[in-house]
Amino acid sequence: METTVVIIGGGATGTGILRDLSMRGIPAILFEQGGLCHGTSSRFHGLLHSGGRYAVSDREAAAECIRENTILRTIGRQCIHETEGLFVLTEEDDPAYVEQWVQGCKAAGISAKELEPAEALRLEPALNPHLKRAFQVPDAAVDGFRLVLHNAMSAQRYGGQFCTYHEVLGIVTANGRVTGVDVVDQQTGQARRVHCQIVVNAAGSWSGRVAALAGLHVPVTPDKGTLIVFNHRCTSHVVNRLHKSSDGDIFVPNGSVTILGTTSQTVADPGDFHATTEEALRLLALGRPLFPQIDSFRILRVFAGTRPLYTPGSAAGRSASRGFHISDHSEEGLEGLYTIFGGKLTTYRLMAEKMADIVAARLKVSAPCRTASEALIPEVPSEVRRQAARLFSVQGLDLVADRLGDDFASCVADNASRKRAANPLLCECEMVSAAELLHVARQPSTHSLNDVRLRTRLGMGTCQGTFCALRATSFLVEQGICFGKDPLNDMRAFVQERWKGTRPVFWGQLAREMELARNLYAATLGTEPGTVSVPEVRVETRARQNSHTGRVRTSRVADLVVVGAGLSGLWAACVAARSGRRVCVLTRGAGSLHIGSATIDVLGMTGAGQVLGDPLAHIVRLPARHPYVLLGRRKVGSALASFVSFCTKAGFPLYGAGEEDVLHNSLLPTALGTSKISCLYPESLNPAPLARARRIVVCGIEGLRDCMPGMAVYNLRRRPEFADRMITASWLPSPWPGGTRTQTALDVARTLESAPCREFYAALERVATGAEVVLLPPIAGTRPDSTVLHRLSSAAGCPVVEMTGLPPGVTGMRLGRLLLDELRRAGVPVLENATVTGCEIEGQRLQAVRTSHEDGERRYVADNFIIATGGMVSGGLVLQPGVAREPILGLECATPGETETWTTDSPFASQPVAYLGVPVLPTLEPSLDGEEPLLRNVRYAGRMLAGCDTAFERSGNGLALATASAAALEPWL
Amino acid sequence: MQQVHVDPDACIACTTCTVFCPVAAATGEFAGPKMTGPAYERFRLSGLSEDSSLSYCANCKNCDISCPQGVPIAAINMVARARQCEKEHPLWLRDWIVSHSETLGHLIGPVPAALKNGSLRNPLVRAMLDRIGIAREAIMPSYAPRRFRKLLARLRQPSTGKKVAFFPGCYIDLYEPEAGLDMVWALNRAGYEVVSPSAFCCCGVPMVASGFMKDAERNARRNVAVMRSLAEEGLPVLTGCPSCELMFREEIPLFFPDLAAEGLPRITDAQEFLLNCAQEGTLRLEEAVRKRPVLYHAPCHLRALGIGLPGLELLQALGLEVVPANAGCCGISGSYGFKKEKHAIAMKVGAELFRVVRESGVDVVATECGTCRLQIHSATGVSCRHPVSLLKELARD
Ligand code: SF4
Ligand code: SF4
Repeated sequence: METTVVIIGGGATGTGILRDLSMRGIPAILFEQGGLCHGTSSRFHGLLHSGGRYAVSDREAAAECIRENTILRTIGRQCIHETEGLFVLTEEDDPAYVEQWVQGCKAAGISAKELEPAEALRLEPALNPHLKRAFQVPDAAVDGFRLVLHNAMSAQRYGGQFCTYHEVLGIVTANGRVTGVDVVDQQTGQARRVHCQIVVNAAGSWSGRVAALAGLHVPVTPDKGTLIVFNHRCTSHVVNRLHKSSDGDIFVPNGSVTILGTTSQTVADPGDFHATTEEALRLLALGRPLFPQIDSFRILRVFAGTRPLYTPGSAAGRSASRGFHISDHSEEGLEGLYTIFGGKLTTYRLMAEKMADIVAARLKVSAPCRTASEALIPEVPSEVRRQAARLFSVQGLDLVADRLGDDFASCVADNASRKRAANPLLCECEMVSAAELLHVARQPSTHSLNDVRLRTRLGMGTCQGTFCALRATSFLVEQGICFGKDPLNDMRAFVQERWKGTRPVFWGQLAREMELARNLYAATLGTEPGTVSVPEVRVETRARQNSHTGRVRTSRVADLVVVGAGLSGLWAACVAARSGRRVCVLTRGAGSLHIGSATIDVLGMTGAGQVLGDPLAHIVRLPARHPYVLLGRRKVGSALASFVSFCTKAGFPLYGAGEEDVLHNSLLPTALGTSKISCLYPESLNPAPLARARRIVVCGIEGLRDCMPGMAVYNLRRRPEFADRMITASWLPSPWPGGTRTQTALDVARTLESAPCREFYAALERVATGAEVVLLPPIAGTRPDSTVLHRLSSAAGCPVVEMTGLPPGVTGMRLGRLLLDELRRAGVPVLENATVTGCEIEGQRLQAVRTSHEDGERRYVADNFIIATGGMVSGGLVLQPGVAREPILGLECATPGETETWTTDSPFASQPVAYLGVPVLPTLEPSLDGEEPLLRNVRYAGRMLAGCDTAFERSGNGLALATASAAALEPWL
Repeated sequence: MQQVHVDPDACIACTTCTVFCPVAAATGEFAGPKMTGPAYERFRLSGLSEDSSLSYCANCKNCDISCPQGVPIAAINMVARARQCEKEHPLWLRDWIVSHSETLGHLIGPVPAALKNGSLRNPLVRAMLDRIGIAREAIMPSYAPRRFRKLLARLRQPSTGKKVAFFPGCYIDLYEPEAGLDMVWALNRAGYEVVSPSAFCCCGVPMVASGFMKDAERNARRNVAVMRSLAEEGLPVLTGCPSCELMFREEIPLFFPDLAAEGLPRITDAQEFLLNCAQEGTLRLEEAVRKRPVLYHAPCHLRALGIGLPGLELLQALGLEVVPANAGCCGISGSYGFKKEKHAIAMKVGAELFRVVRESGVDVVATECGTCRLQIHSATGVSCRHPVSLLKELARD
């Protein structure tokens, strides 16, 4: 392989140089050890500096910034959000600094218009209302990854080449001249030598290491900066604090999120991307003077990057120069090697220009630099846009076009025959559709879902990959694209990478989201055995003891108030009502019953491994304070038995108990072709027919993204127990009349329930010919009866089994309805939208719980209370930095400073944090010391109980039922 | 419109709201609460154009009721709609008409009710209205000959020394003044004299739902001013309409935070108030004169208030056999069902309730919300009453 110039480093500087050289007609190849933008260019807050930040400290840099800022807005429209920026002087900042700063801006040519504080607040209502002064500057937001990608695309158009996942292992020299480099392709392990005349080391924080390959030294110091990503655009302008540059004083609205940065810390390893809780908390504290409500901004994750600071002599950290530097190593006796480092993303183009000027002069090429005048990506022709509008939703269209850059037109062309209905959104949080995903996945530079993520933002939104990782992998396998040897492992790696960024900030809504994620992954990918050391915690009570006065409204009286309407709350209410008590249920939200698959998982995993056979027999292996252990095997068993008999009587029988009603675990098929371990399940999920069948047909439904039959077949075939079966995939036409939104299994289930759907059944009959069992997504109606199921199986001519999958699970709705109907029959009122926020305690009794409303509080008086508010997902347990809290009685315990220590590397393993919860006695009364009940008329049931990790154990619903039964039935004192 | 921004951050993308949204169940044209609400809000803020399916949201609030994380989803949708309507409001005239019945009532006030109502039944008029987007098939409420507050002014009430103010809401004021008088009867019986200031105007809920946020704000300011002066006189303000109540309690603080910042006067649920009186013994409720079986429909906005079902309990206190219908939303959502492109959806949403009503065999349905009554009655032919009206009919003197 031969070229003229080799560039090392695929960040902004490297690709900028590649583009510049290519436009001048100089042959060049770029090598990057990771994916594009693996290093710093995507690991910063995304600020396109106006220069305001350097107006006082470094006027030259400031002037460069504003010039480049102006240029980039014109050439990189797709990468830049013209948000404008504010510099805000808070009460905590030195007002004397303002004059210098204004002068600095003026001298550097940066427009800084002073705004009335009221005007600034109008523009940014969340800003601190006590702000002193505010100036508007031409800051903007830039998507670093996209900028790099578009530079690379532009270079490619001019013949430039880039190779990602290629590590440079050596710089080849001869007679004091560079003659080539040795690289290794990390995907294939293949090494090769590339001959060239010039090597440009643009490896950023790694440039010291690259120079060392040639035995040289460059004064570059990696400086770690940690940043926080917030869930939405809490601000629409870039907001800087008007003071001497410091940590954590910039908020940048970037795409759909806001990024707060940055800390600064010298590190030895340029790949040190480790962020800590301590850093995150410090950032929040620093951001608070600008945005007082910062603690209510939902954190998505934290991340870190390293800046390559130019540090000749001893300057480091913030005092190091943000200017850039080019070393011509011929001064040290090696001709043809240059290192370019320092600088910042805003001036990457200028840096590239200067570097390319030197290279061109050396090669005696006289072509001038044209990178400042030509757009990175040409505008999309109107014809393509018109075509694209058939494929993408109108709003999504610009997003995709900007993300794909040059690839947009070919993506549209490739999918010309696809209609919008066949282009479902696979990632709803960042609006990534099937067509975009497929196109990016097919690019030669894409090797993993993580690569896809960087180009599409898949998995970078609210749910952090919870839903889309499963969907995207399934869809790609369906299309014949498998990343790595096992696409499930690639998916695990993706999920794990997302998980990593949440561990240092594991509290608030983020913790809830991750608990939801953990439950979902566990139900589809399974959990990994192994024990974790569970921390000892001291729980204290901060019960809010309200007086009887104040804005309290009504009191309603019942024998028993149940708080919460998930499986445990509803079942506790049913059981209590059947034993003749007057019950009232208070709930906020519908609980997670309706979106889950509502199989009764009793115990599927312990530290020792998967539980096959009778789950009750494994209770003894659980930790001592586990709720199952407290209740004892007999009570758990009889609670489950009474639930089974209730369901049978209600016409919705559960399966899973074998001879003499001994329970045994089963493996239920998931829509991924993996299995979910569970114990009791309704007829439609009964996997028994699957065990016997030789010929299995897996059906998807056209337009239904959550079940890709090809994926299911792919993974089923890989399981030894299915090795000798004949498994095929088929598609059925969707009976759903359709619409503009993306179809869900729920849509199909509702349609099958309400319309004849003849065509659908006829198609099912056709594809099921010869089959002994048909696997379907969960579509057998939303009601707790088997009407639709039987219609399906009679059309198929063989048993049909539903596969469980992503929410909305549909199967859960059936169980939800069954229980709600039972409560109605029993005349138990379910008070909706009633958030219990406090309680009244007298002595050892809870007198009443209170719900809060805009117009004050209401109190609900009863003799007894069962609190069944769920676990961390539903807010039965709330995590805040340093503390975990049960909100009703106000039980609290301290949590460690670094939240990372309470989670483990793998989201599929058990997590110490999950064992936090309400400590109870065997009677389920809360107790701080394990001996005396805290209150005598209150019991807890469900996932907030201490001592268990229900997601890992696969024990959530079993635990909910067992504790609910016990709480309702144990005699009250 | 104020720069309000309803925070989407609490959403964990669990999809519960999507399961419970009646409109999403009825049509595939609606992206559903999670998508138009918290998910899309993140893109709205970055300047992306509006999701075209937003207009399908009926503001029924079933999403809010079901969301376990407390995301004010419907409010996100309504603020977005208001912003969108400021830019572009396709069926402006139609939307104005269906959301400003009070103003309209003033404009055509002098026309006798019979004539107004006659013309609303006139096929030619309906064809014309249909052309501007008001569904020909939709049964519109009929104007009463005299407005509630006119009737109240003439009414002689026992003077008890205790007074309350009643916020009638447009439905009672314009279309069903008898229900208002029934409420006055009940409050009198509980020992309260009732006033209903003429300065009260429409609470603004229909305006919010049709994108007229500025008009809603103007009305909110007027009403809040009246309520403040009533509060100074020490008069509790009651309403029998859950939607009006929801506006004062939950929507004003979200939509007009500066108004709320000055402290909002309280609004009290009239049914809850009466129930309290009954519990305290100031309102006599013995066995009903006639044991008539009643089906009770809980309006979605009442469920959203999170105060339980006091209207149902009131009827139960009479010893009546009251069966909760538990069949979800009736579909009308104020004026949603009048809109031509939404009418079929509204009927589809209500279908389950209509079935339950028909199959129940009862001859009366009780529900607090005026438009629910209209919808249930026009779809099933079964008589539909405010719980307090039934109370009056069935309670012993
Ligand atoms: S308000 Fe009603 S129609 Fe609108 S999203 Fe919520 S549930 Fe759906
Ligand atoms: S129910 Fe609430 S948390 Fe769940 S998706 Fe809807 S808005 Fe988000």
